[in-house]
Formats: sequence, C-alpha cells, structure tokens
Amino acid sequence: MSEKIRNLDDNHNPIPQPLAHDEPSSSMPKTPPLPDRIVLNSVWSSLDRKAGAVIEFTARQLRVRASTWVIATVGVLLMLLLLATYAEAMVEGLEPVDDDGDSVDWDEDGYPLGQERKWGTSDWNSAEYPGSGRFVSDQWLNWNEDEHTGNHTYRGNAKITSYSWIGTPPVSQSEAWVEVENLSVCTDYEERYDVQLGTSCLTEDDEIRFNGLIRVNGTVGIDSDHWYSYLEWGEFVGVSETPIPKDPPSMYIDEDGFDIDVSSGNTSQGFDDDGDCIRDWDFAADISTNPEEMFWQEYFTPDSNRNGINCDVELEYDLNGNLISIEADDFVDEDPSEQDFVLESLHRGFVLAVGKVAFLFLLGIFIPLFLATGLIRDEMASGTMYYLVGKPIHRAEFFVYRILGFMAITAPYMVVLALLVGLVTSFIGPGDSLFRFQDLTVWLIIGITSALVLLAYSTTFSALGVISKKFGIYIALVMGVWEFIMAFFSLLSSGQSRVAWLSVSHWGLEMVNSAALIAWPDSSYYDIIGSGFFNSSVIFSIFWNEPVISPGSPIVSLLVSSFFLILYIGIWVLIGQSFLGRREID
Amino acid sequence: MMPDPEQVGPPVPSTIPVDQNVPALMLEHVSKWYGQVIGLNDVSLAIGGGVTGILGPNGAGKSTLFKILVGRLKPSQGTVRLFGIDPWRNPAPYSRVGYVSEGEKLYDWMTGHDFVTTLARLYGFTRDEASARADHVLEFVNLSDVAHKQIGKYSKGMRQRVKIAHALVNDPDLIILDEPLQGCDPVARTTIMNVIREIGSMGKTVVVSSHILSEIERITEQIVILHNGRLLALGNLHAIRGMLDKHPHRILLTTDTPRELAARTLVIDEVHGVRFPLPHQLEIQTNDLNAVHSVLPSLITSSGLRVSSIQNPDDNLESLLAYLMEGRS
Repeated sequence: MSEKIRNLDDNHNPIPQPLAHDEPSSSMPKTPPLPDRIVLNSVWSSLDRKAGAVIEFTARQLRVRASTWVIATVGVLLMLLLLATYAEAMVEGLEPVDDDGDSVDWDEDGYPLGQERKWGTSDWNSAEYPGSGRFVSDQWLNWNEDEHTGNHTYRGNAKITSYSWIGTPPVSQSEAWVEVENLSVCTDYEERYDVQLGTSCLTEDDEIRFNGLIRVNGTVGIDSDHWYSYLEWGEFVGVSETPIPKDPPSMYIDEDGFDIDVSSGNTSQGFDDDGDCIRDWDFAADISTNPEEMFWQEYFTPDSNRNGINCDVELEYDLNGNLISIEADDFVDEDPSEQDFVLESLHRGFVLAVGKVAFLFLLGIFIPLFLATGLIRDEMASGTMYYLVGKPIHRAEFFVYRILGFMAITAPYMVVLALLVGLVTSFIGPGDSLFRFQDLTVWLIIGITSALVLLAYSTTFSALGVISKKFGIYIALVMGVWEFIMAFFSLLSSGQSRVAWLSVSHWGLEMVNSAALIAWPDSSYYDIIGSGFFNSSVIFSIFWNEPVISPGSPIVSLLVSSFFLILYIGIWVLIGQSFLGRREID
Repeated sequence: MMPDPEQVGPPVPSTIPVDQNVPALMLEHVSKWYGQVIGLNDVSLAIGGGVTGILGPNGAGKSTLFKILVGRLKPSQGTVRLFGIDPWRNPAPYSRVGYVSEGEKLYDWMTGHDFVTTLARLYGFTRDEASARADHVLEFVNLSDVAHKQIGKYSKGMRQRVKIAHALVNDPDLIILDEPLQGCDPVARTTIMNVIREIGSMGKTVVVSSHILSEIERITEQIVILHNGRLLALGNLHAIRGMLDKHPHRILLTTDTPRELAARTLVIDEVHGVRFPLPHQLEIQTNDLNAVHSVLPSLITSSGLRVSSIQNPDDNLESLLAYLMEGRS
C-alpha cells in the first residue's frame, strides 16, 4: 500500500503505486512567511481581521450594486421633497390669526372688542366705549310697583313725579344721558309717552318724562298702561375725565399666548396677558356682587373652570402624572401666537411624521427588503458562497459579519440622513434661538432607532433568505407587509394595540415617542391643545403618541423598547446562524 | 464571543497538528445521496502528498467528493477528515486548504488583486500581509500584469488562474482543484498545468479533477478513478495504462495511401491486423500501443508516405473505464 494513497477497504485494483515526488522547485517564488499558526487555526481568533474583511467586503459589494444607489437616491429624494414642503411652510410662516376675534370693532365706535372688554364696556353699543362710563343696573321696578323713591342713577322710559335734586350728566357722557335744563313741554301724546332716547320734556302735570339715564333724588315712576315704559336704577361707573386713546386692532391679535409649563406639574397655571379676564374693575362692574351682570352682552365668568381661582388655566393629571385635560377660564390664554404655537406644533408633527413614516416604515422596511434578503441567499444562488465560507471562519460568525457589513453601509446612511434632515429643520424651525438644539435628541434617536429597525429587519430577511432560497423573498415580503400594517395599527391605536406589540415597528415607534417626550416634555400639552383648537396642528396630534411602557418616564420606555428590539435581533441571529450552519452550499 | 448554536464541534486545538502520519484528506465509507439520486457511494480514500488526479466522466461524483471534502456538503454517511478534523463541523482545517470549484462565477467588479487580497484577509491576515501574499500568488500564476484589472475583463484562462491564485494565498498544504482546465484554451491549459505541476513539486498535496485522461496524464501519474459515484480504481497511471495497453487498441491513420501504409505496418510484430474504415483511413489493431508507437514514426518517415493524422481512439477515459468495468465484472 502506498504511503501516499491508501485504499482503505482494499477492494480495488490495480495496486496503488507510490507517488514519485520531485524536489521542491528552486525556481519557485518563495511565499512570505506565515504568521503564527495560532492566528489562523482558531475559529474565534482574529475576529477583528476576519470580521473587518467580511464587513468591508459586504459593504463594497453593496456599494457596487445599482439597486443600492437607486434606493439611496430614492431615500434622499423623498427627504428633499418632504424638506421642501416643510421649508415652504416654515419660511412663509403663518399669518397671525385673531383666534378670539377681539381685534374687531363690532359697534364701530373705534374701540376694538378687546379694549372694550378691558374697560367693561359693550362692543355692541357704540354709545358705550372705554371712558364713556356705563350704567350698572342694581334693581328694576317690580311689575306691581309704579314708582320708586331714592337718590340713584335711573335708566328707563319713565317720569319724575317729585324730586329734591337732579344731577348733571358726567363730562364724558353717553348718548343716553338726559339733559333736564330748559325742559320743553310735551306737546302731544306721542311726545309725552314716546320720548326719544336721550331726551326729556315737561308734561302739563309738571312731571318730567325722560328716556335714558338721569341722576335724581326723588320719586321716579312709570305709566303702567304703556308697555314701553320701564325703570331701573343703579350706578354709572367707568367715566374717564380725559378721552381714552383707541388701541389699534393689531394689539388684540396674538395677545394672549399659552403660559403653561407642563413639566412643573402645577395644576393651576396660565396668565391673562391681555387682561381681558382680570380687567380693571375700577372701571367695570362690581363682579363680586353681580357676576352675571354682563350676561346680556357677553357671557363671562372669571372662574369658568370652577376651580376656585379666577383667570387661570387648570391642568388635570392622571395618577401616573400624565396630563389628561386642560381647561382655561374665559379669556385666559385664548389667543396664542400662530408662530409660537401652530408652527411649533407643525414642526413637531413634521419631525415625528418624517421620523416614523419615512425613516421607520418606508426606509426601515424597504431597504432591508431589497438589500438584505439576498445577503447570503444571493451568494448561495450565484455559487460564490464558497469563496467566503470555505475559509477558517465560522458560518455563525459569517452570518453576523455579513449583516454588519450591510449595516456598515445602511446605518450611517440612515443616521446621517436623519441628522441632515434634523440640521435643516433645526435651523429653519420655529423658535427664538437660531438652532433648535433640543430637536437633535429626537433626530439622533430617530437615526439610532432606524438603524436598530434596519438591523432587526435585515437579520430577519437575511435569515429568511437562508431558510428558503426559493420562498425566502416571498416570506420576507409578507413580513414586510405585516410590519407595515402593524406600524399603522400601532400609530393609530396610540400604541395600545397588543397585536402591534408583536411587530418591530411598534417598538421602533415607542422609541421615537420616548425620544419626543424627552426632547419636548410638553408634548401632551401640544397634543391636547392642538387637537382641540387648532386644525393646523392636527399633524402633531396624529403622529404624537405617549410611550405606553412607562408614560411617566420616557427613558425607561426607550430602554425597554430598545431591549425588545435587541432581543428580537438576537433571536433572529440565532435562527439565521442555525439554518446557515445546516445549509449545504451546493 | 458569539453564540454558536449549531457548529460547535469538539474543542478546536490551538494549532492543527502537522503530523506526517495524518493524511491531508481521508474519507471513510462516505456516501452522499440527493434524494433518490446517489452522488457518492461508499468511498474510502486517503491522500497525503503530491499531485493526485481525480478522473471520472461527468456525473461520476468528482465535484460531490470535493464539496464534501471542503465542507460544502454534509456526507449522508461516513466520515470525512481534513488533517484529522471534520470540515463540516469545524472550519479550522480551511486554514491549510485551498479550493477551486468548477463554477465560473467570480466577483467581476473586483480586480484580481482585490479579490485575492480580500479573501486572504478571511484567513486572518492583516491587510498588508494579504496584499503582499496576493502580489506573490498572482505573480506565481502569471497574472501580475493584469492584477489590477477588473476580473470581468479577464479571459477564461485568467479567471481560472485567479481562482487558483486565491486558493494558494494562504500557502495551503492541501489544494483541491475541481476541473481547473475546463473551458480553457490550449495556452491557458498549458499555463495552468505548469502551475499545478509546480505546486506539486513544492511538496503540497494537490488534488485535481478532470474528465480528460490526457490532461491528467500531463500533470500527474497518481490517479483516482470515480465512476457513478463509486471509487473504481486508484494508483499509478502507468500501471493502469500498462494493463490497458495489453488489451486490443486501435490506431487510426489518415492518409491518401492507406493500402501501401497497411502493407508496411503489418511487418511490425505487435500489429495484429488492419482495417480500412474509410477510403482515406487505415486502422491498425494492436495489444501493445507503446511498442507500435515507438516504431510507427520512423516507419512512416522511411516509407515516404504522407500521413496527415494519427489518432488513438481507445486511449481515452471511456476506454479506460470500459476496461476497468470489464475487469470488475
């Protein structure tokens, strides 16, 4: 038997002959010396070199594929399109809107409603304006009485039967004040009973008939048989010696922004910046004695939220400390700046919409679907796999490195794309500062989440490609559709759908929601206010959800969500490695 | 350390034993079925040193044998050892193995140098080491001048050579070449055969497959013959050929004067008879091919007759297989 070739079962002929070997050729080029065998022989040694080689090779392979560039370009174009829409909205800004309508001068007396409110005068009566003073009724003549005696300011269509003193109208008087000097005689019935507003006359019975306001100490009565006779008495307040300057209507646009700090946890907040709730009561009615006094002209109570505090905003929190409702007193924080609130709300809505839909759903699912499913399957199908695994490298390692190679190209793409979009939006986004630094947290976490989601999908799809060369892509497609549906399911159910919890997309959304809450602690407030009052901020209300794992602690939610994603990735890595280990490479 | 759910074999020694008594490759009763089709049938074999040709017609099981050897396929039955280690469960022996498969697929977007360097790094070489080794092996296979061209622009022969270069880059002790000459032009064949002979002369174990007897004959004398998945014969080609030569052989000469030539060849003792299959052909029948071939050239020259071709229709693998099958039966 030959020492070189041995027929182990000895069944065959002819008899093997020893091999004749030539001496090694001296003309052969000498190979460089090998490094220590230990480096080469141990499967788990030189991981860095082998890992680097596979990762670099995979990244280069992806780089030369046309589909990679097509997908990358589509992603960039999508972002440019979204950014252009966003920039247009931000650069043009929003026209200031008079949300409470108090810049309008309804009675056309030159004083806008806001100014009249502050002075407690009616904007439905041109005779009543700031400084003109106004009559505050104390009591009406009862239906079964004909007259009343006392020293008051009277208002009515009535008659003075006896008096000891009649006052003169105030300097700044309204049209309804009645002059009683040089009284004319009521000549006929009509003049006697149907006296024009602001006029008076003396009857043949020496009674003074008047229609309007008059100050008198005496007995004042009505003719009960005339239906248009009436009488009330009270005070005349708010008269200014000097004319009150008329405010321009623009003063009453965006004049009362939201003064709420949700993170403080205080239940009573808000500030009546424009003073139309607080009002200067020296000029207005004594609200403590007659809170409904102005009912006929404008419903108003300074404690409409009935929390015992006038002119505030009441915030209601649940047991977990989540903001669940906001209720403001009338005329408090009722007219915020569109630039401050709606633009901010739009901006946040854009960040979340782009982060969730464009990055997580579209790029996050489609990039791995197109590029990762064939990471190993394509090599097996094309017959080049043996170049890579016919080396002292474990197939389990190879599976991981191959995915890391994919990630080496796609993760930086996602993170850089997210940060670039973040940079642009942080520069042109609303706000007082030049750059919205707080947004970078959201964009960074969107980038990281997208990378994690990419890793999860690429591991899954790549493993599916290994599990079935023929059907892997179809199974991956079905999974992609499932993830897409679950993503919207989770989004629309505010993360409450337990079915959606079985998807990668849900945990990706949870991470972004956590990031948003970390960067913008007042997001709940924008959600409640925005969805209730401003249609333009509905985008924020749609895309903003509180994290469901731990609503009070976004960091915990972030960590738990990333843990679930990493666990998912780990499981699929094990599945992929297991199948690749068993897979014959034909 | 990464988890390893499936392929953790016995603990890998820190070095693969370089034991001369352990053959580079060994198969014990190895069989491989593809469903109902048998690819390899109870093959036992051990090879350790020199160039060995694996001969067999298409479908004989050569590629299956190689794929099992390099751990691409799992044997349905039997034991495979590369340097004493099961390559299916443990890829460690690959550090001493170079393998060229029969497939033509390569990474066409890479340059030859790039291809060899990248794959060298999978052995754990640093980037510089890998590059130096790539330069070296590409020079060895005469590809230095096109090393930095894209593989996609290589000829078929160059593609085969770059595959061989990649298989040599780790300075392997065992080189497995599956049909390395397939599809190559004569010049490329000669170059590749020279390369294989040189590797063999360096003391490496080279296993090379082909279905063309003459190709293997030019490379090595040591052969293994596979047929229908079975190991039909193994040993020295000369010994096998010697036996074959003792059986009737035909030599086919194309000439304008077949009858004159026949008259002259019949004087050779080893010629048993002649036939004229076509008007311009002469078929000589003999049991000793070598003896006839040793005198035939001088006989033709001295006769002054014009002979345009000499063929040995029985000197091919099919004839050898037919003979061996006959012997077995």
